[in-house]
Amino acid sequence: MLPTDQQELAGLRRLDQHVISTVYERYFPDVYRYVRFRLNDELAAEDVASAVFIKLLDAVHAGRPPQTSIKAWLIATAAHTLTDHLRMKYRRPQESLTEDLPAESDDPSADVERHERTRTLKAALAKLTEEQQHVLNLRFNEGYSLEETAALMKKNVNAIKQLQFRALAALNRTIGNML
Amino acid sequence: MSDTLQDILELCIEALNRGESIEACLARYPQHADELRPLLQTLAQTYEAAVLNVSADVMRHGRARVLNHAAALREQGAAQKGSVLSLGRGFNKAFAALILLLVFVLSGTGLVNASNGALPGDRLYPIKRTWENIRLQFVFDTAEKESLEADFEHKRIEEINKLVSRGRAEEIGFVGQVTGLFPNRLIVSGLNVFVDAQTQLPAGLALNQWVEVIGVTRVDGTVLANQIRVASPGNDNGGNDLGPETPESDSSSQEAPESKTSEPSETPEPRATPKPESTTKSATSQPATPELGKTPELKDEFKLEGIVQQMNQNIWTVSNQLIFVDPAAEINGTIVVGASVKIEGRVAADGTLVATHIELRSSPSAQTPAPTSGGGDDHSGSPTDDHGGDKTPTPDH
Repeated sequence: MLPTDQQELAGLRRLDQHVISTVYERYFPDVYRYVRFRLNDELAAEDVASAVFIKLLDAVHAGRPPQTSIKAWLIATAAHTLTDHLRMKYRRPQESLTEDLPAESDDPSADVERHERTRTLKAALAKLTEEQQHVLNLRFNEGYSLEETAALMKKNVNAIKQLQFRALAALNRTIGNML
Repeated sequence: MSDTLQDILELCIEALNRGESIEACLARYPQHADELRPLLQTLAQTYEAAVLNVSADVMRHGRARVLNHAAALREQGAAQKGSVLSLGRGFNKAFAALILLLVFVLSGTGLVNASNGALPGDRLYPIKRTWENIRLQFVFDTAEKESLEADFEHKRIEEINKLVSRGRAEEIGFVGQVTGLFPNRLIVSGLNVFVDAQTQLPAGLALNQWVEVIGVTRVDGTVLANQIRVASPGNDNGGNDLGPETPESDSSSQEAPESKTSEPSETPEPRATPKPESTTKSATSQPATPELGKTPELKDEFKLEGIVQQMNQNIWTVSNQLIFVDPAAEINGTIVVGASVKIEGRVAADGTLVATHIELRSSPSAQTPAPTSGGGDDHSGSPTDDHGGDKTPTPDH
């Protein structure tokens, strides 16, 4: 574990507001982007991402802090929390109030097309395995390198290459079937 | 074969990340172009769906939720600690002191020494405060006891100054003299203490009164009072209990702060600035010190000359006055803590002093070192500092 992680964990254990804010500022964007990539609902993504940080505080407070790195712990917890959220959502489907709308620009028809492509992609993404979704999210949404992704997923680099290849192939097939 | 293709896909991903086109990449591997093309097109579509920005609103909402949860955990912890402390209060004081003395003797002085620099919120802080209480218990000479209590009160102020300068949010409690009253803040023993609608205030709060302040330091470098009560023999806890965690603790054996009027020279008293204009106020006329909570007699502009005691982003402390530095303020010279400055600005509707023009008069090295009573390890504006040329803000007419 990095020395900064250890210092920050000590601060989190003390519930030091300054340290909590620092950890939040550093990692929240990554966690939120990870969650938002798979959820069309902005408010739900905000809830899930906040819940991840609340779980971090609870875990540290209860004497069960991250053992490797804060970032890896947050991303893994984000994946689990997201899965739980989606499972509950499928059990009790609700209409999203904040579903993505095409961004306003000079070319409305291009915006609509892009919006449709994104909707199709996310619908196809949801049909992949958890691991395939995870690797695509980390590599092509979060922008982590092959090595970083391997560390976060606790796999070796070759396994990640193989996984991303299969994930892209599966995503391509699923999109093809949906069109 | 498939291994090779996986490697080539990774090379193409890296090429796309460098800004190359899909066609350029495929042209490099024509034998695999048919297999790679759909994958790279899907990849491009994935990139298009990537979440790039996190809005400021989302950040703010999430932060509030997380900090609220932290506050709830903190309260939960304080409640548990409080129940343990309340059990402790039932013990005979002498017996408790004896136990602690025994622990101290057995464990050596290391822990107590280590706690010397502890600040509110630190793990060792309760040890520091307990040791101070033990020391008070074993001083029987009244004058010596008063002197020790005064030392401890100064320590409280220094601790808060350090918390403020480090931007740490902690629960604090201290006893001090009111030397300034403004609509939304007081100056207590040189500290700017903000009050809000939730702050419990005593009736008839007035200048020069000794008060006990219970509140929090905030990450923006300010102190917010949750409760202010007049420190009197009836409700004073001597300023040396465990602060906000035990505001109702036994105080029967403690001295009243009024008995510490032997140290008024160490309390920063605002001094009126002699003004060249005909509108100069006398020393007895306190500028901008209306009764707390009431609308002050507002002046449009103010001028202030003094020493910079703290610089926390756009909130500075100059001559014990909290100054908000307008982001568009004109600043002449390189201002650092300890520098002598001349400030001009306007008084906001809530009495806040907003600096619009700041001019360096002299840098710290050009000045005679100011005598201090503290350890001198920071420049956080100890209330005991005497900066000679410090002047209170003078509203212009």
